[in-house]
Amino acid sequence: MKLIATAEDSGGFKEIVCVKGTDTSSQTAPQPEKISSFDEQGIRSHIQKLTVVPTSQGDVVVAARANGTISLYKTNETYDLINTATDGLVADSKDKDKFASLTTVSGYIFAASEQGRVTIIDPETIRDDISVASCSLKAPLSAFVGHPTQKGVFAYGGKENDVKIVRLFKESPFEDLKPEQLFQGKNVKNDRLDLRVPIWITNIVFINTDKDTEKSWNFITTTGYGQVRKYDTSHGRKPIMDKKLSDKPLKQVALTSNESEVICSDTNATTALFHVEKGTLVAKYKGSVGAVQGLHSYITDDEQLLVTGALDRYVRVFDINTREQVAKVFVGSKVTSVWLLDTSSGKSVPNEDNEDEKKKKKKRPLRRSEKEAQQENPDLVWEELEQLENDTKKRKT
Amino acid sequence: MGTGTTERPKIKNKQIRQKLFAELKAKKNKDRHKLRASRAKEEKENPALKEERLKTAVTETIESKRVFDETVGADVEGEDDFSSYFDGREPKILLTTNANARKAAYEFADMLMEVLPNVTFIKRKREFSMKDMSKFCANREYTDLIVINEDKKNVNGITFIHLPDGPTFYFSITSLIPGKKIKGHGKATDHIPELVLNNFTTRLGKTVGRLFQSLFPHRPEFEGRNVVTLHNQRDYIFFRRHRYVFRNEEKVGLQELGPQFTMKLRRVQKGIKEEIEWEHRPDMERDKRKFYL
Repeated sequence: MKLIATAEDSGGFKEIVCVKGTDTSSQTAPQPEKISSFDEQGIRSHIQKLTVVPTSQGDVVVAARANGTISLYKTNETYDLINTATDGLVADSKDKDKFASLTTVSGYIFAASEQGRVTIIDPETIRDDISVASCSLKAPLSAFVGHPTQKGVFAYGGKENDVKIVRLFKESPFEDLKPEQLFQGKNVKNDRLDLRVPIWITNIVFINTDKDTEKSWNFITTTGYGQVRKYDTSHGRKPIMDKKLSDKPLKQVALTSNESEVICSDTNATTALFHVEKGTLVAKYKGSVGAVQGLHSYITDDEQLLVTGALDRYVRVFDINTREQVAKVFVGSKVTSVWLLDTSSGKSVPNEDNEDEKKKKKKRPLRRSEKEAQQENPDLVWEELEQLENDTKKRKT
Repeated sequence: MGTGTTERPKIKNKQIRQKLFAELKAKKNKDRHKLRASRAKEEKENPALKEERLKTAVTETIESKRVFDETVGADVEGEDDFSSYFDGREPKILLTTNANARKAAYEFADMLMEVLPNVTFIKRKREFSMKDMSKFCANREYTDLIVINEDKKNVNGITFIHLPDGPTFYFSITSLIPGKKIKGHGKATDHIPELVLNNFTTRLGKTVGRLFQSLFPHRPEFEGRNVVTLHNQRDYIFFRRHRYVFRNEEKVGLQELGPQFTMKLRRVQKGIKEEIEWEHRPDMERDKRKFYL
């Protein structure tokens, strides 16, 4: 497996090459073949969001940094810097601005900041004269996603900023960039004490995109108050389903191959698979001690893997279906974002190892006290006593 | 005795059996003493033997059986939120308690005021949350906010918030003994103490170590001969404070100044009480040989 993880403490990113079964916490398990750091710029300009974009000249790593620059790197051995775009963040805001999302849709890179600035980059132009466009949306913003099939259609939302669908452009963002609101969500009914339910959209995912038309969309939102909501805009502006799944803010979302199931992680070290229709917790991905900040699902026909990067400075890979931990690597720095490039890199491990481990578990080496107990037969004391008795009897006679 | 064997004891009279068993034990004991005496004699003639024996017969402890942790001794990478202190900013601390605190909390605050330099105590007001207080303190250029937690007339916890951007640490407190209760205690002076941090080895442990380091100014006043020790053993952090004196070239005298207390890390959060970086769970204590600091 070849993974990319961002390192907050050093301000760079790391490439990890490892095999399945890697565990740095165990001395007997295979260790990662290579962990190498690239472009360390210090904690003040650490990478907040990272994504990988396919272009006509190979994949490109896109990194949005805390100082507002967006750096682009080649995916070769040395991750050479291709180009950078600046001013992705609002500099003169009262609260410090952060990147809220970094996505690629319809061939462009979109970076959205919490203060509502959207920066658009054409990845085909980065090698010579980089073309950058920007516009602004209603702040505060914590989620910004593009529609996978409809060009120029985006959904966003944030704290006290209910979910909105906008059309940013019709043909190309560099020609006719003009945000036009298509839909605005409506808050759910008051709770049973007749109090207003607070709004905090943390993530949006478009689902059933083949059913979407020019005027209706299906999507799921997660909130900072632990709810997961499902919208079908042909049924009105309120969500058609609203379930509270967690007590803690749900921060990260990853998709699975099944459209009714999503993987969410909260601020309390729980990463779990939720069934959206039923509103139930299906499975947990256990192991992480710190809150998961980077979540990436890698879905192909024969493999479904989930990569998590957490504040406990570990990158973990899980099998989505079996929930087993496939790899665990200590990276030495807090991780904000992760990406799985491919699973073919690194030597494959023969399956025998697993069987050996199971055997080992069953046959625990004996503790010292047990060993002594085995050696020191309890009958021995009795025999000794009898011997003593015989000796004393002999003396008497 | 003899569990697993269903046979009756071979010596039927219990009193004789007991007497014989006592004799057997006494004999074994005597043999052991003889062996020790002879070994001591041998080793006195040949000290190399003793060295060899001590080398091979090492007592196994929980610490020596500690499970492998890859973060022990690993280099600290990059920077963290404490780096501003290490650039030379003097610490400035605000100390407060939980809302509606009782006498115990104020007494403990009094002890901490003596230990920590450049500290201000403010009585807690109910209307301000921890986040509010952190904001006010950051505006007034405080570097740390300490909140004592008291419950049922006992001090049971302490929160450290590093300002302006966190992290937040919560420790539970046990075995608090004020200086006055310690036999032969001394009276503390208000010199800046020296700091001894013991056994903070893992990556998390180093973060905790840096927290305590950032509470004390860089330059201790050596003429005060005060030392604050934070000794970590099996994830319990022992706080002790002494005054030392060099009696001659070899001997050092120690006088305890107090207070004594024990802390245990319960939670580390990013920012001011935001995402959890590490949290103690009861099942972490299932494996007695696994330590986190």
